[in-house]
Amino acid sequence: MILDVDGMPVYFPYEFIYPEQYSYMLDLKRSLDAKGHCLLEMPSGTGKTITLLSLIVSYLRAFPQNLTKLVYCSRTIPEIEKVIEELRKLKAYIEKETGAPSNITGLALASRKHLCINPEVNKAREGKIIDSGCYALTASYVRSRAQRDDTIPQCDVFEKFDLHGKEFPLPSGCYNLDDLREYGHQKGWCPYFLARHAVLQANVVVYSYHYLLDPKISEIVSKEMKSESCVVFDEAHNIDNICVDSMSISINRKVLDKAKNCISTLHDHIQRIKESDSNRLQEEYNRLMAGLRQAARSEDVVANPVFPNDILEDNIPGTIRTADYFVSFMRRLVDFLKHRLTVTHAVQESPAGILRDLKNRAFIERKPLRFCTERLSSIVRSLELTDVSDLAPLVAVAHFATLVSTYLQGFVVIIEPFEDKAPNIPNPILYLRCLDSSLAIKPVFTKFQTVVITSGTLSPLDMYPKILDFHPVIQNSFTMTLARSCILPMIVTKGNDQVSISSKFESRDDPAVVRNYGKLLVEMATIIPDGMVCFFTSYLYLENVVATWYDHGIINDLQRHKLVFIETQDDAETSLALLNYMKACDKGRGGVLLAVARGKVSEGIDFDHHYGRCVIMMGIPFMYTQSRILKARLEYLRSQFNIRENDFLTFDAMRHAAQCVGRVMRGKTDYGIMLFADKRFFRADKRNKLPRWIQEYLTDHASDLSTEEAVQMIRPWLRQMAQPFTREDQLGVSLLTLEQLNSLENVEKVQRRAQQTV
Amino acid sequence: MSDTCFGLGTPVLRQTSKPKMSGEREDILLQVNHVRYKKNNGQLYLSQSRVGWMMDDSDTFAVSVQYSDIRTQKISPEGKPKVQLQIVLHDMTTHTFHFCTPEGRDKQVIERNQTKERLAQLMDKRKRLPPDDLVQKKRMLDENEQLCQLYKDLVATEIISGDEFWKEIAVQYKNNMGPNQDVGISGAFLADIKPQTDGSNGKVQYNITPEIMLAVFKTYPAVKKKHSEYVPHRMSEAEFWTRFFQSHYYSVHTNSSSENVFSECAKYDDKEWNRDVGSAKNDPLCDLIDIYEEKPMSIESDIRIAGAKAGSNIMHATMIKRFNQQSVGIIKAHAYTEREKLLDELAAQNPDSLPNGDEEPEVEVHKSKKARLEEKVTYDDLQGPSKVESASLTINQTHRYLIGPTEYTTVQNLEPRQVNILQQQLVATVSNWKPDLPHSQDPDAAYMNLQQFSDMCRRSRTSAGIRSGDELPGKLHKELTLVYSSAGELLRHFWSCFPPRTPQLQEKLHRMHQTLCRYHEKTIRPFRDMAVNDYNCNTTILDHLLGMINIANTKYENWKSRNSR
Repeated sequence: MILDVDGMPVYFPYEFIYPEQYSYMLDLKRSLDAKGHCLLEMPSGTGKTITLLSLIVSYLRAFPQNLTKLVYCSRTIPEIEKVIEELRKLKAYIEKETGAPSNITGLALASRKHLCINPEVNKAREGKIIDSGCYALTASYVRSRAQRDDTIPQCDVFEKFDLHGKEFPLPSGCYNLDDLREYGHQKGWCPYFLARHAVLQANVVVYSYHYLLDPKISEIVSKEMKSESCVVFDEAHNIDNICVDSMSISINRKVLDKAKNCISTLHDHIQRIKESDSNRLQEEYNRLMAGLRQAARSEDVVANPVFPNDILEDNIPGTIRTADYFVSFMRRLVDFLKHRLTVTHAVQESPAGILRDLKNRAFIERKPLRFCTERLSSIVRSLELTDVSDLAPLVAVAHFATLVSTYLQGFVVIIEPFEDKAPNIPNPILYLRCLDSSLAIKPVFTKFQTVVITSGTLSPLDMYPKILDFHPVIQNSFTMTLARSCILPMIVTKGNDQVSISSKFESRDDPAVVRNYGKLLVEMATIIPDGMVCFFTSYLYLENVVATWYDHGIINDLQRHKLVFIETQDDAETSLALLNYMKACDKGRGGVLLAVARGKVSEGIDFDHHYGRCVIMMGIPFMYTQSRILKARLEYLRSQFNIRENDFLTFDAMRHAAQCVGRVMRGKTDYGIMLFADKRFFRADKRNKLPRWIQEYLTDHASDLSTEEAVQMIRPWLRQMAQPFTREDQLGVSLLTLEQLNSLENVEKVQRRAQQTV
Repeated sequence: MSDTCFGLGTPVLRQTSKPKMSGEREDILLQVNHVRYKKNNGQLYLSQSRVGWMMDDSDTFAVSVQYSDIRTQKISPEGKPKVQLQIVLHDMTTHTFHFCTPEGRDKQVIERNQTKERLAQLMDKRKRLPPDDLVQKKRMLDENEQLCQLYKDLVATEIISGDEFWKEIAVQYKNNMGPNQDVGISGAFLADIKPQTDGSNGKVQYNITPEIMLAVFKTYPAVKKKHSEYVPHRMSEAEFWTRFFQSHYYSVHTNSSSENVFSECAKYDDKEWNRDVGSAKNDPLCDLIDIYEEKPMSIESDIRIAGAKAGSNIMHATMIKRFNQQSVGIIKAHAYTEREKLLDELAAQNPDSLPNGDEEPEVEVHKSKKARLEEKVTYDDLQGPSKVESASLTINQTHRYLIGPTEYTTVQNLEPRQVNILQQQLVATVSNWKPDLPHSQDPDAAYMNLQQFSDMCRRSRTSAGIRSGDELPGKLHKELTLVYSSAGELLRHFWSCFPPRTPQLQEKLHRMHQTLCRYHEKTIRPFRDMAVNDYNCNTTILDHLLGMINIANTKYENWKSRNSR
């Protein structure tokens, strides 16, 4: 249908629309008009992606002078591919309606691992090796050398692309990763560089968060994007962690040892060059002396970990200007870090403290440290190194140096003698952690005119503007209009024996609690058809509980009703279990999948329709609160943003819990049970942090149940849900036709309905 | 005394003479005298289908139980003074028989064991029988309305006998019904084996049935392989299963490395598992390894020295892996049997078919990635209802369909020049053609035809009575449909006998002819009478049907006269 949203025609490739989709469009349109940022929470499974695409693409068509590009960031590769498929659908619809080919070009961008078609390079299945293999064939000095010398191998597809591909714009269309590869094969052009090149020209670019948030990558890939763009962060409930991670670095002894080796090879290279071609180093020295900076080039491997604005506009200081000096400088730095790693107890220091220590012990000043990465990049270029994958440890050290010396605020250095998870294996690690999630995303907010942060779970909404430090012009949370209550959230607080169940530390290993959890699962498995998923708070807890359940015969009881699949720490094994879980659901046998909140299953896989009729959240997935990194961050949040520790912890736990249970819904014809099994969920401070669309259907009488009571509630509900559900039932309530949106009055009513308050 | 017996709700059947246990006559396979039941003396009988007990001086069975109702039988332990046999039914009621031959305890035990053995055999036989024929027939009738109607029309009116009906007519329906579904393996097939302790000596006893063995073999092909290797050459069946219960398969806690029979199996299973893990990677939407974009120049692998599995208990981790292995094994076993069945069916349908080339290597058919993504991004309820359902054709061996018979061309190739000339000629002819309408038809003939047509039209308009189906009263219309469909079915069978080359076909032809005649007598005629009398219809409504039957009759007569000559 072609909708009228605030006076703008919007192409929507379906004949019907959900009321919340329409309201979402209205809000999005307003914030695009205002050229401001917005924060929108919309229930999962209500077609968020197509709504976003429809409105923004229509906006691009209607106001090309105001908005020129849509940058869509998603978290996982399958998500990215789904976005492109939806865009393809939209494009087909627009073309059908207008009767003319549209000039929409949408493309997905991913790393070389997903796009490389050079058989010699991509036979290595590891991303790092493919990157390095590509670099060894396509770096500018390799290519110039190859022109002189025929024996040096080149990448055919890259050369062909470089020769012909750049002049011709990519024909309009939607390009998924597979399509890009196919197009590359067809033309003989390198799909990766083709995509990188086409990013500037395409109207819609879909890629992962790092391409915008990680300064090392965004500087190379997204630098030239215009500010008249709309950036969408989908599934953004976790965005603060991604921001923090993209500016953090961990280093341990193994890394330092490898870095040491790198320095030695670097030294050897320098000596060799000195003998054969001493001019080259001299040239570099002169250039650095004159303060000529080389612009970061797309092919650079050693990218700066800080934002361009924070790079010092100055000459590289003399102490590291010559190659030899630099090598010895790095050596001193590595030795210093090695020395610092010899700890028996955990140490926490500020960047300033580390800098002071560096000055006192290793006689290293702050300024050369800041230039460390840039200098390393320059020397790699001058030495014309090709095997860059080996350099990673040294690059990590350089990044550490640059980061620690650039940002004195919002960072912390923590040195721990071992990993949290493995306290008996000595493995001292030095963490440089960013504590301020607003740092990484700030350039995005300032550069682009509209940034949309959206997800199914963003509650409480006011937390995100605080921790990301921005001012949304619109923030809204939409409810789910339902013709029948197809979600059934409930809180089970106690077992049949009235022992309250909880995953809190003191009681989680209590046999009564574990048994009650098991009983709950078995009871559910007996009455729920097809698939069900059960999330645990951590992997270790899952392991312990399963072992106890086996001893008590609960696993056997479970197997009587459904096949049991369990997430393991090995991704490949989990994939297999997941695949077979889905097969079991398809065959009608039914299965139960035991998984972990915050794990990959909870983030990347949808359990729609019969793949998940019920999700059980066993306990509240709090972070490991003893972790020093977390403590430092909490401390920082309290002092800088006035967020209380407990608030943040609960917020984080509840968003993950909501994320887990949200996996069960997809569309309004789907139905599923969301079962929160912990007595603490019943407390107001936890309940109120659930997304509004879940809270709204969580009635009071379903929020303090025992196992048996839950069973009593579920039985009739399932029977009701299994009845045929037709479009007529939905029409007008949770589904609208074009006519129903025609009058102003109706539109108001729709909006009111989509924003019912709790 | 006997009243109390009956009062307890034991099934009592009216019986007239001793050897008769139910409506039909059954042979007594075993009779044991001096068996007490509820403190009454009597005899125990085992027949083909049931076990019965009859009190002395009575001619009715106080106890009569179908073998299929019996869940299990139990015997009294060795040391006990009474020698007893107990049968437990599915509804958990029990009957206890006390063997009390005056010849002494040894004889009692012998008798009891004899009964037990025999009973076990008979129960086994009963259990192994295919699901009751009648059940299946009923299912067929339930699922096919038309067949059911036919059955009513033909068998209930005794036009043809029941056997004949199933043999001749129901066969096609049976083929159309689709394959029966296999029952899969229960997820808890191992958990359901309840070990029984002996009470005193701490001996644990596992009871294993052929079903469980089958389930184990299907789920763990490695165990099956081992079984065929070891039993009975190297160890007895019992020993093999004892070891099995000691291995990790049964108790997942056990680390079976010390034990050599099944440790090899574990290795084999792990190999298989790894292979599966490798193949699972190909599924684009379940692949968890690649879901996140990797950052360039990451040193993640160096940081985690303890590996990704840090902190997890190795025992628990293996246990979890074994649960997964078991579930995957069950799913796989199901897939295998389905496939085998399909092949068997294909072979059964045309036993002497020639294989079309070598069997194609099995390719795991994944729906294409794009199709699955498409599926994921489509919202059914937002979509308009315009989707057209179309039947899909499953082509198993594509090359057969792509290569057809080569075209036999009689057309001589023309030279391009000739084609041009011909085309020009054609164009010229068409442009010069002037229709000569006055002479296109003989006026007399046209006039006559026209007259004939209008005459027929007039006649049909004036003719009274009911002609077409929708003018018939509803009930009559329905009945007419039924009559037509039954007659049509019979006629179809009749014509399918031609040409009657084999004696069987000839015989069938005779039979079908008779059936048709009888059907005409018994159904069509009364129907016609009813239509005429009750509904005041024109008899013409059956003209077509009768015409068809007449044609069949004539054909039959012709054939017969030709044949007899």
